[in-house]
Amino acid sequence: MKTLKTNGVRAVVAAGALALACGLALAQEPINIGVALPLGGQNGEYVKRYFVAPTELATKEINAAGGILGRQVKLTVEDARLDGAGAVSALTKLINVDKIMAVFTAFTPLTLPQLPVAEEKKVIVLAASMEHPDLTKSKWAVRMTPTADKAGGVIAGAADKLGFKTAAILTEENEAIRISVRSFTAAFEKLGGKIVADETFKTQDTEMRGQLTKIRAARPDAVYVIVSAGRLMALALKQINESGLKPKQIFANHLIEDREVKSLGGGVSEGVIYTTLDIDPAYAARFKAALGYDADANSGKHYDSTMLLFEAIKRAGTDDSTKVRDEIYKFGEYKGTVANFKFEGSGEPTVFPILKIVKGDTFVKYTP
Amino acid sequence: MLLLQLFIDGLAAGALYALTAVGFAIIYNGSRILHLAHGAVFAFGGYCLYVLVKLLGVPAFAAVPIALGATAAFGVLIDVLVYRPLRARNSSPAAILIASIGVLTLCQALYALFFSTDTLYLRQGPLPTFEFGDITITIVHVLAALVALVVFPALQLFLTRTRYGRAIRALADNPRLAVVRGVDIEKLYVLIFAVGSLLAGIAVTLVAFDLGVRPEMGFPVMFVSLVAVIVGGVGYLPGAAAGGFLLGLLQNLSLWQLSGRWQDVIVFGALLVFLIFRPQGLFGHMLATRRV
Repeated sequence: MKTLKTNGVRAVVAAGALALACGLALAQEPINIGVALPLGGQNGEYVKRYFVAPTELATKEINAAGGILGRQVKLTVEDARLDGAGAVSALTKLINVDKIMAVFTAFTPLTLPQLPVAEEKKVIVLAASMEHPDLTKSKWAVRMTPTADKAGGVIAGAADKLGFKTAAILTEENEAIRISVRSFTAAFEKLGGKIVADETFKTQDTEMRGQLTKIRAARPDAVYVIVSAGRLMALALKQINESGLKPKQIFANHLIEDREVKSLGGGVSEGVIYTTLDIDPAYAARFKAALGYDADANSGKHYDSTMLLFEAIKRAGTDDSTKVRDEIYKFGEYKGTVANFKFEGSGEPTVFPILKIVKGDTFVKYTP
Repeated sequence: MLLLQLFIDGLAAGALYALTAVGFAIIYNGSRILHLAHGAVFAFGGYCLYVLVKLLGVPAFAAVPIALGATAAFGVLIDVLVYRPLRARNSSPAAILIASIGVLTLCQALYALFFSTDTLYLRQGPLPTFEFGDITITIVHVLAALVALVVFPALQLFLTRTRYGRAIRALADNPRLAVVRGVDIEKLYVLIFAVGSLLAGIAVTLVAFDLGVRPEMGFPVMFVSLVAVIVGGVGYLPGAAAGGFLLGLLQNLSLWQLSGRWQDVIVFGALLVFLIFRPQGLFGHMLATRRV
């Protein structure tokens, strides 16, 4: 009988120890998050520097500060390659193998195919810099940038205030960019302006001279350039200069800040007015100190999306993705490094672009 | 004026396509290898220039001939290291084609690894331009025209007036007869790859100083070259040059009435039209006449 009693006590102690050990192990388990972005191809270097690195920086900072809820954050980066299939494959791997509760992604052709998978597996999709309005139709998606239609309206307003009556558009073929073009066209024409040329080129193109020849023949007051990569912005500005096209004003999107435009040099971007978000100088300094190069607006958006996720996990008190998603959607005002975002019931924040102008090597806030 | 400017732009683009297309055609006609890695050779020339001019500070006038030599050598190296062993094993044309795609992909990945996927510029700012009323011509337009005027006649002289040139043509016309007559085919392949790659080097020199260098820069050029060869007439070198000019002009003149998004449709539409209705290309009949 005594032996039985002793054995019973031993079993209870062992079970208790096991439960404690499991609990401790659970408490020490990292919070798993992932990145599924194209790391190669034409924009690979840009993506690594301004999309992946800010998320890594935010993760490093939170872990250095003790993690979240006493747990470290484990970030796994997967190459989404350059198509929807690659993006879905990368996300599936992150979900099944790395057990992520949230994924950081970007680019319309990659993110839209990822959404059904993320919805089914209840994974939060943070596509910080994606401007396509359809993103936030998903109940699992979050963005940290104005939608594509907002930039067009802001540029149209500036063109009108500057007294321009005609404008030409030179853009990359891209669905989100065409949304910007449509909103710019509608707003500019509503203000009494006229679009005299609307030319496009493909992402892989290097020659835009033919399109610029047509734009030049239309003699616009202003030219609006919208692209998705710094390489294309540099080429467009260089070839505008070489084509003899001399508009009174060039408007552009935030890619004018890209280092490929700077590395081309030659003053091709001088005086260009563009839409962007305003980067917090403290973040810009921290970013440069940590990574050795200048931050841009996209880097801020991706950093902000990562920090927003961490804040939501803290508020939820768990890394359960449904609860964290709900916390983001009802977050209210989130003071980020590039804007004050306001979330009121969805992953679509209230945020508007501002105007800046290129002056030498600096980007200065601009009011027409 | 618009049409004239588009015509000039088309001629400049066509000159570059013609250079790479003729290089591609020399290699294909002589070796019957669909050398898609020609795109990798093209980009190699660009990176050679970047290393010489920007990293080592070699003046452009000295860097260009060195880069041209290195590009020619790289083309030969691909033949010696990849195609020659496959030929020795009597590999099928499909196997050699796949090897060529492998070389192209591998090289692009290596360029990205060593130099990043960023555009690396050899010079700062816009190109110098010349304005004649409403017509604007860049220095690259002028150089492309000059290069075309010098290179194509020189190549024609080489192929028709020199022993090696005639041997290349003999090999292209009838490889078996060339073997029977004691031509050392492997040596000739070295020459064929050197000349073809040299032409890619000349083209990339113009492109690199204008647009900078990137890992995948050879891919679209190689594709347009392939189309130019088919449009011009497979087997007939002047046809490849004509095909290159035709495509450059078609791409640019189409912009007169169409949007830029139609450019690929134009190029590949032309390819399909020729493949279906005139598979011998524009000048394929000239080859048949010459053989007769």
